[in-house]
Amino acid sequence: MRDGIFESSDITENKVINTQICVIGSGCGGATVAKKLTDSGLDVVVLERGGYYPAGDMDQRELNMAGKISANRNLETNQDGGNLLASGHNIGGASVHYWADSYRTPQFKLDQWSNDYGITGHQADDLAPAFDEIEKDLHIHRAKDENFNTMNKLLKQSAEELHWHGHRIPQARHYCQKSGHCMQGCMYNAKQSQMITNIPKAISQGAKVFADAEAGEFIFEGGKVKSLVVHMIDRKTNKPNGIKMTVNAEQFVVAAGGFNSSYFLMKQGLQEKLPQLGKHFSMNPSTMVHGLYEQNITLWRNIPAAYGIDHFMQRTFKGDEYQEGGYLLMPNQIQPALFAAMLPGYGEVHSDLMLQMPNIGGTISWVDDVETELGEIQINDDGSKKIFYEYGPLTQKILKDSIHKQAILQFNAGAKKVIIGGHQGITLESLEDLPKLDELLVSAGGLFLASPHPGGGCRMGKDATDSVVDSNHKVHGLDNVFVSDSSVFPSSSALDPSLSIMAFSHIAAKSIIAARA
Amino acid sequence: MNLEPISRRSFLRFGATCTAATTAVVMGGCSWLNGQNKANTDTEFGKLLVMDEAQARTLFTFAETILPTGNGFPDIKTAKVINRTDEEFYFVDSNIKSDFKLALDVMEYLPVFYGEFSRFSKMDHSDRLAFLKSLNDTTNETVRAVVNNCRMITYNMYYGHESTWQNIGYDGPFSRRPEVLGEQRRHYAKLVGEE
Repeated sequence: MRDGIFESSDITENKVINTQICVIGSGCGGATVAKKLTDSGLDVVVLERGGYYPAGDMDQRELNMAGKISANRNLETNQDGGNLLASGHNIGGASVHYWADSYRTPQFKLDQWSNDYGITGHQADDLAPAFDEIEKDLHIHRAKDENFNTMNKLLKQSAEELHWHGHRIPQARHYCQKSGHCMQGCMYNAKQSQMITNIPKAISQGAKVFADAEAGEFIFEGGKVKSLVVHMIDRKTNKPNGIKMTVNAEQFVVAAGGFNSSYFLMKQGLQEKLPQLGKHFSMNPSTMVHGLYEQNITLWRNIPAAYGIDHFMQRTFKGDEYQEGGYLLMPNQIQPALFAAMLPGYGEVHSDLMLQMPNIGGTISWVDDVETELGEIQINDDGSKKIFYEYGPLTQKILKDSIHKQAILQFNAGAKKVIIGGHQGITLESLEDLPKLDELLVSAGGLFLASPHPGGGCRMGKDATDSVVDSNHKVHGLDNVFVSDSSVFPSSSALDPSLSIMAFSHIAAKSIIAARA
Repeated sequence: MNLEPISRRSFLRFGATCTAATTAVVMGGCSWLNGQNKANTDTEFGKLLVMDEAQARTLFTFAETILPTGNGFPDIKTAKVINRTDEEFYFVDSNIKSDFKLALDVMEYLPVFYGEFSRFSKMDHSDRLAFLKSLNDTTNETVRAVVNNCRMITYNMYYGHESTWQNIGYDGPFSRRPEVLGEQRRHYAKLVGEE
C-alpha cells in the first residue's frame, strides 16, 4: 500500500467488503463525489481499473507514461479508425494527463441542457457554490504572464489584431515548473489532479481506495444493486489475476468516464431497460494546424494553453445556412512522438518538418459537437466496446471552418507556412492559398483528430425514453445506482469538461445523500 | 493508377474481414487467415509477442519507406520501432490488437487492389513511397484509416525513442530524470528475453 491506496499486490486473496457507497472510477467524477460523500461522514470505497502512478513513477517520456496513465496507451480510435481517443487509466483518471484547463460550464450550455433536455438543479446558481469551492481547493486562477510561452504570446497578439475575442485560460496548478509535460503527468505535483487533491482528501476522511480493481458484475436484488464483483488486475500483464473482491454497498456510483460508464452499464445487461444507453455520445473533436515560423517557438515547454480564443464559440447561421463558429481555439502543445504522428507527409517531406520542430508552432480547435450529429457507444458480441462517430454534414462544415480560422490566425501571427494535420498533407504558403481548404477531406481519416473530452452515453433527462439518468444523477429504474461523470451531459460540454464534471459531482453527492434519507 | 477501385467499408472494421479474406485467398498468403500467425516466436526482428514475422516485415518496410535515413537520424532498429510497437500492442485490448494486425495485413495487400503486381513489402523503396503518396487524395475512408494508423504508430514509436531527439532539436524530458520503467515494460522485456 502506498499513500493509503490499495494496489493489486496488497490483495492476495478473495475478500468481501461492506461499505455504504461504492464509487466506480477515480477521475474528476469519482474522486470528487467520493470526497464530497466523505465530507458528510459516509463510508466510501473507490475502485479504479488502472494503476497508481504518483510523481516518483513519472519520467516525462511519452510512450512510457502513456503505458502508465492512458487507457490503451493512446492507441484506441473510434470505429472508423479516424479519431484518436484518449482517456485516463490510473488513480486520478484523465485529470493526471489533462492540460489543467478549468472552465465553468458555459451559460449557453446550461441553458440548452435546461431548455432542450429538461434538466433541473444544474443551473448557474445551483453550481456556483460548487465552482467556488473547487476553484479554491484546486488553486484555479487565470494564466499568468509567466505562463505564456512564445506560441501563446503570438496567438494572443494575433487574435487581438484580428479583433477576435479571447481570454486567459483558468488553470488548476500551483507552483507550476513550466516543464510542458502536462500530458505525461506532473512529476512536480503542481497540476492539481484528482490524484493529489480529492483522492488523498477522501482517504484522510476514511475512504478506501483500490487501484488495479476492475468493476465486473452487478448483483441485483429487486430494483436495486446489492453487490459488485470486482476483478483484481495483475499490473504487469494488465489482465485479471483471478482474485475477486465482492463489494456490498447501499449505493453505487458509476464514474468510469465518458468512454466507459455507459459501456459498463451495457455490460450489466441494462440496454433493454435503458434504450438511451450509449447514445448521444460527444467527444469535442479537435483539429490541429501547424505553422512554420522564422523564430524559435519551442512548443513543448511551459503550459500548453494560457490563452483561448472564444470568438467563435457559438455557431452562427444566416437563415438555415451555417456561417461560422462552433469551437474554441487554443495554442497546441505536444511532445515529439505525438507531434510527428500529427504532422502530414512521408519521407523527406515529413523529416524536413521534423528537423524544423523548434520553429513549428501549432493551434488546436475544440469543436462543440453538433447535437443532431452525435455518436454512439455500442457493445460487440464478444463484450468489447465500439465507438461510432461519423462526421455529419454540419460537423464537417464546422471542422473545416475551424481549420480555416486557425490558418488565418497563424498567418497573422507570422507563420511562413501553414500545415494542415490531415491525410492530404495540404500546405498553405500564404492567405491566398486558403481556397485550397475547399478540397479538404473531413470525413474519417481525412483529418488527424484527437478526442480526449468524451461525454454522453448516460444522458441526463426526464425518463428512460429520453435518457439514462434523472436530474438527481440516479439511473432510471434502479433505486441505488447513480452516474457522476461527463457521460451524463446531454450534449457536448463544448470545452474541457473537467471543472463541469467536478461541479456536477457536487450535485450528485447531494442527491445521493438526499436519497439515503 | 486508378485511385478509387475499392468501395467504402471494404476491409477494416466494417465487416471487412470478408474482403480482406478474399484478397488473402486470392494472393494465397495472408498469415492470419491461414493460421500462420507466428507471434511469440523468434523473428528477424527478435522475439515478438503480437505480430508475426510477416506483419513485422510489413511494418518494417512501411517504416523504412516513411522514416528518414542518414543526416543524423537513427535507423529503425536503433529506434526499436518494430519491437516497441509489438510491446505497446501487447498490453492493449484484444480488439485493438487484432484491428492493428488486420491493418498490417491489409496494408501488405493494398497495392494489389490498386493494380500493382506486388505486395507492399516486396515493392522497391521508391515504388512504395510513390504508392503511399498516390493515396494522399483517396476518398476511401477505410484506406485512409489503414494508412494513417500505420503511419501514426510508426512516427509515434520512432520519435518517442530517445535516439531521435537530438537531431530534431528536442531537449528531452525537462527533469532529466532517467527512465522509470513500469511493471509492464519490465514484464515484456522478461518475456522476450531482454532482461
